[in-house]
This record gives sequence, C-alpha cells and structure tokens, in this order.
Amino acid sequence: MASTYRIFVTPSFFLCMSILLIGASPVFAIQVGDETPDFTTQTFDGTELNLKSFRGKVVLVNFWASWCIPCRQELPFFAELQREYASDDFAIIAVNIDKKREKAEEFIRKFDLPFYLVRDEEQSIVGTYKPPKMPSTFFVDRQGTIRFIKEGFHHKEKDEFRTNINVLLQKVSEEKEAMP
Amino acid sequence: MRYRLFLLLFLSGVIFSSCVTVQPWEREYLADPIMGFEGDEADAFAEEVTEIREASALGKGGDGGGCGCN
Repeated sequence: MASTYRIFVTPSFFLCMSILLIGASPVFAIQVGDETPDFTTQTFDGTELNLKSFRGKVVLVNFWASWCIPCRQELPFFAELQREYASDDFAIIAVNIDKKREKAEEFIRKFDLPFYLVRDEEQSIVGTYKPPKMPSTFFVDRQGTIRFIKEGFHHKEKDEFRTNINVLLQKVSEEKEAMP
Repeated sequence: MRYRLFLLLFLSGVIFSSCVTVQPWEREYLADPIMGFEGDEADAFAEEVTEIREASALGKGGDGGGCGCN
C-alpha cells in the first residue's frame, strides 16, 4: 500500500503542482527603472507616432480598451490632465487594445480627448509592456525611463497622477512621491 | 506498473495543461456582459416571457397575469 502511494501519488502530486505553478507564474513584465520599449504605431486619424520622438518630455503611456469600465472613466480624466499640463513638456499616449477598432472609435467619439490616441492593432505593444491590470499607466521621464507604474484607475486616486507628473516635471521634490 | 504510472502522469499532464493565466489585456471576451453569472439582456427577456407564460400557474413567483402588460 505504502509503495503504491509512493509510486503513484507522490509523482502525480509534484507533476500537478509544477504544471499549476508554470500556469500561474508571473509574466516578465516591465519594471520601474527599465528603459521604455520603443514602438511605432498609428493614431486613430492615421498619423504615425514613434515613442522615441517624445524624448525630453514627460510621457504617460496608458493601455485601455472599450470593454474595460475603469478605462472609460479614466480617459476623460486624462483629457483634464492634458489641459492642465498643456504648457509643460508633457504628453499622454493612450494605446487602445480593442480587437475591433470600431468599438474604440464609438467610445472616443463621445469625448473631446486632446491627447494621442493610438491603436495596437496586432497587440504587439501591449504584449511587450504586459500591463499588470487594465487600465495601466506607465509614467516615463524625460530620459525615457519608466519611473512609476499605475495599476487600475479610481476617482479617489486622481491626485496620485498629478503628484507623479509633478515629480517628473520637477515641480515637486521626489520625497513627495505618492506611488512606489 | 510502469505502464500505469506513465498513463497516470500522461493523463495528469493532459488535464492540467489546460490551466493558463489569462492576462489582463486578453480579457476582452471574458469582460463581455454575456459572460456574467447574472445573465444578460437575452436572459432577462426569456425570463420575462417565462413569467408571463407561467404566471397563471405560479410558475415563477406569480406576479402579474397572462396579458404581459405589467
């Protein structure tokens, strides 16, 4: 009986656990401090956009989709932010990952969004950045380094965005950073 | 004995290899309201029809009559 247990159950247990662990292992996502992976894509109006051309500016790279409810709440707030920081070296690039372009267009038609709205048609950009949640926002400094990663969106967290942008624009000292 | 062990391991592998983590950006279809447990508009309509049809027999709570006007 004991030998049956040893032969069957123990190896099966380890096999199952290892398979489960492989399935649940975290993807190797981009970390704070990494250099921003460059990408070239098209805006919704067909203009080519290259991330590297934004060097020297503070950039928010945001991943959103029309099926994601917090994303839909976040984009109008980004319009607010873009207007607030219009006189600064600041840009927002919102990367849409919808499988159907029309769904995204239907959403953005409802709002006046004065920032860069681009498509990730093949989902290659999102596959590189691997955002930990939807939406996720990567705060990129003037040198092209990721300095903060904001996971998700809630109205109560709006000030975190402002604080982090101010830090990157050197309007406040880094001691006042709101996010790790 | 070895054959059995091999079979067991093989079957475990087949069964558990279906465990994958769906990444946040891959959840478009999972986020669809039709995937929710609470049902969607089509379910609500079907339920309404059932209520209208079965109400006289108190099939689903018995609210309303058979005319479908409530």
